[in-house]
Amino acid sequence: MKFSINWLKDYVDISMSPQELADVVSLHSLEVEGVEMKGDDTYLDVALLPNRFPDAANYVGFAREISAVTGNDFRANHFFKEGKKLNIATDFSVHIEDEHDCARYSGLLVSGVDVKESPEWLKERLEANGLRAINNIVDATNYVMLELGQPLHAFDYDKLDKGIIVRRAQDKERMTTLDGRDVELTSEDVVVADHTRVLAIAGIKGGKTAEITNATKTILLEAANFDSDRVVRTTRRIGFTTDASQRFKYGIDPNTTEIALRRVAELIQKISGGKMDGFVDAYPKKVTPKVLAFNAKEYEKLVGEPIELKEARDIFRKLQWSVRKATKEILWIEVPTWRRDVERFEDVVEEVVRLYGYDTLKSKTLRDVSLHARRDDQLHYTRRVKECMVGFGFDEVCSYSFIPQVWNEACAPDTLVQLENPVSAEYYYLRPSLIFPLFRALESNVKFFSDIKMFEVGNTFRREEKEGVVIERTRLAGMITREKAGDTLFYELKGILNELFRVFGGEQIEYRLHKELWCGVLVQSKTADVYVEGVYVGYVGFISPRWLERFDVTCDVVAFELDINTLLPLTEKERAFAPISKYPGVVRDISFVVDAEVFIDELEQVMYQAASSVLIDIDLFDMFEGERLGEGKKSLSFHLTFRSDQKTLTSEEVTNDLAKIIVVLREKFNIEIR
Amino acid sequence: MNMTLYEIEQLVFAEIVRVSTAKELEEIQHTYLGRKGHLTAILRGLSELSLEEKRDVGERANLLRVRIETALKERLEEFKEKQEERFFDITFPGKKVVAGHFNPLTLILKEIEDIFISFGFSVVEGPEVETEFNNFDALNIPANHPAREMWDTFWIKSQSSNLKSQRLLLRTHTSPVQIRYMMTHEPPFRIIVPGTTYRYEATDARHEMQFTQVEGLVVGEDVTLANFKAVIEAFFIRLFAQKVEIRLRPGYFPFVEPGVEVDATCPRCKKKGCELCKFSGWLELGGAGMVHPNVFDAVKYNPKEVQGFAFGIGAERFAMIKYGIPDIRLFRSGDLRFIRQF
Repeated sequence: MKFSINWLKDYVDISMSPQELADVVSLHSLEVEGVEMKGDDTYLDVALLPNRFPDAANYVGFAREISAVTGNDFRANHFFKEGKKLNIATDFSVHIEDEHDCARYSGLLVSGVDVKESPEWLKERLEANGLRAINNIVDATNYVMLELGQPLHAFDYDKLDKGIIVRRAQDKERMTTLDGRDVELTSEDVVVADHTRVLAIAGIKGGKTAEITNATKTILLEAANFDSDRVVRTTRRIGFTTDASQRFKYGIDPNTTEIALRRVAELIQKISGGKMDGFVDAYPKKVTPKVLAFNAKEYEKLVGEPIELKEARDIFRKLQWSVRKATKEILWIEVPTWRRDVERFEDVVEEVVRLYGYDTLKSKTLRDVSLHARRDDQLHYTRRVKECMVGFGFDEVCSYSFIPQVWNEACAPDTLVQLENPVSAEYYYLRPSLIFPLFRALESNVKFFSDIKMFEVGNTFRREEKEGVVIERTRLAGMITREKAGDTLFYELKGILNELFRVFGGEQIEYRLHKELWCGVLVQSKTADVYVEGVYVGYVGFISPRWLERFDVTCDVVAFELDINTLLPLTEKERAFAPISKYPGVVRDISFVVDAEVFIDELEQVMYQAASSVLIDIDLFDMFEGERLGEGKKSLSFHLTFRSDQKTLTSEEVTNDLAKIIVVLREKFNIEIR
Repeated sequence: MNMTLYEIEQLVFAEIVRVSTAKELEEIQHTYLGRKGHLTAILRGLSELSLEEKRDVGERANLLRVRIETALKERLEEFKEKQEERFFDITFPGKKVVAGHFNPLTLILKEIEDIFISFGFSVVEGPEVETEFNNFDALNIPANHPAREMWDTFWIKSQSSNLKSQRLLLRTHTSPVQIRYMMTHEPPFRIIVPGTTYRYEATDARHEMQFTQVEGLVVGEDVTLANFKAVIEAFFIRLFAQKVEIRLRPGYFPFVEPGVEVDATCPRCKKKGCELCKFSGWLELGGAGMVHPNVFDAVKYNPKEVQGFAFGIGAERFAMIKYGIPDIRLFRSGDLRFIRQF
């Protein structure tokens, strides 16, 4: 809310410059977000959060805060003093049907008013505060709303049928608002009615029925306290809010109604004439000030800095709070009802510490040393995984957790987690896999790079089909791309994964044929499911050209995705030392021609089985196909390493093993030694 | 045609200085010290001389041999050194090795976590899809409370017809992990909770619908606001690697009371005023406060026995300040031209 400094000066002395005032208010009270000069006045733009809206979103309330932080006199106390008792109206009544809907309804009749244009000063103040001047009666109610925070409404008394009833609307009951909107109401809405018609939507907007016109002679001024929830629900349903409804949303002190009525009647008498002609007040449960104990020891225990009771007492005085009773250690303070946010001791502590000044609070080191601090295992693991991937030359991308609506075709739609309020069709579902957001990154980067290695670690979301439970998993995914790279790109990524598993201590790594066409994004025949110790942990494979076309990607792309939650317990084992062999290894090479469709894996398994245990490593170092070999044939060359940890192997022993290997290979795969 | 020792001495050293290749040195060696060399001939002829001459000539000849050998060796060293001095281009481009790059978010989180770990904090995580209870109700933000509007929320579409089941949402802060942690642990403890959070709002250079928060929580018998000030001060000083001042201002977060906003002196201009701090000398860096007793009630702690502070800071904001990143949307752009700078 923007506050005029000139207007504030009606209620409190301000001697410092606007900027100085803004600084001191920000440090001790409410955040001033801007200082703005306009004409011969300056405005402070003050952020009012829900806790302080009720008491400080009005001139008198904010002036009280300024008084509290500057120590300057607050000159608006007279508003709150009990004045002469108002005459009770005799031929008019107010009835609240449900006190939950309306805590208080006060009305004041003023007769003999002269409805006309407001004086210049009033129009100027309203307009400078963003309100349009209408006539002196309506303007006076708006002025007092800004001044005291209490929304007010004026009805043409002569148009009313007997009295006021605060009730629920009937379903489909209608009302036309002052600004000409026709609103259909429901039994969820609270209305102000007379004995025949709806006069106003409670706390939101008045209706045409009892509108003030130039002919109006007697007015009923309304100051009520409507239920916050009800007002919010109705504004949501009818789709508009007003200054009044905003104030009801945050809540108002019910004791303000009478104060505001006296004030507005006084103002109306001054600018329009007329006389107060009766007061009506329905106030089923009077709200009285809370009495809270302020204990200096408890204060010190929470804040960590002592305070003298007399300092605290001085602060309460500045806040206009009174002390009921005092002992050596405790002040019993009465919290005024306008401070709806102050409910308990801790709230009082905040008042004292902010006004005493956070700058007086000295830093104190935490006392005891924590011996059980530990880092979340998974967090530590993912950090190391990231370090490893970066070491392999991958760039780390972070993406949004949302994927476009149209991508549901690639997933099982039932398992997708959908938002109730997505920002757009582009960010519609939660990602079921990291591969989708990586496509977005791919699309934006292929314009600039053909050689991309990127990865992401992040959470994925899936709905379990039976229970509808949302399952969240942390995954690692990556992509590598290269122009015309062909099959080698797959082996390159596979090599990286193998090294990753080796670093993290994974054993029994298997690449099995991909079972189902996951998401339709991968080429099935060029994708492998990855298993660690027999457990499925993810996949690696070529992205289908069809899918790549969507993003105008022409180079080959191989992707992988691993589930970190599954992988962590399989790989994070204690490292164990294996004795280093004292004996030298012997390397022999073997080259042969075999059918092109034989898997390397099968050949290796057979070789290990055929040889004795001294065959410790098989390393494919060359492969080619060509006309020279004949149709459907390939030539393979391996380094075979033999080593024993018992002795130095003799040439004969190795030759024997090699011979056995060749025999079995011939038998099973019909190989031809080259 | 034998040469005398004198003649050899006159010639050989001059020759050694004159020649310019290792091959010529070899020839000199051959000419004088080789099997049929001049000096070798003299040494061989010693047996024909008298005892006295033998001693005299032998001694002089051996001395000369050592001098020649030394001179040859030294000259050879000179040639080797010369050879090493041939043209070598240190400006020739290095052979490319490609390391990858961390997203700056990962870098800043590592820094933040490491600092708090050194302060004895545990690092804890929690899920991004949360219940309404953990994200709001348990944190003293009941349904229909106007304070809820401070967090624009992404709600998960429910598939369950069971009305009693909890509404799910994307957490709007990492504070629900406070609730999860306290429900399963007993004080005293110190934790920080880094993680992804979401807000349903329009994005611009300073606002994101998905961002990263680090929340802290310290609970014990006598943890005070003054303790918080010490912790946050030490944290900023370590993170910015320079002396910074801390300023607390009144703030409002329903799960703390008293609640404060935390400002620090601008590390770029050192309080003088610059673009970054909008010429105020101060940066708003987080929110904090003493844990509200209602939060302790929600996790079944006794608010009379324990107290503590909580705080929240934004990882992107720190990365933007530290690395001079102008637009928060860059972090999740996936743009490698951005990531490769880190």
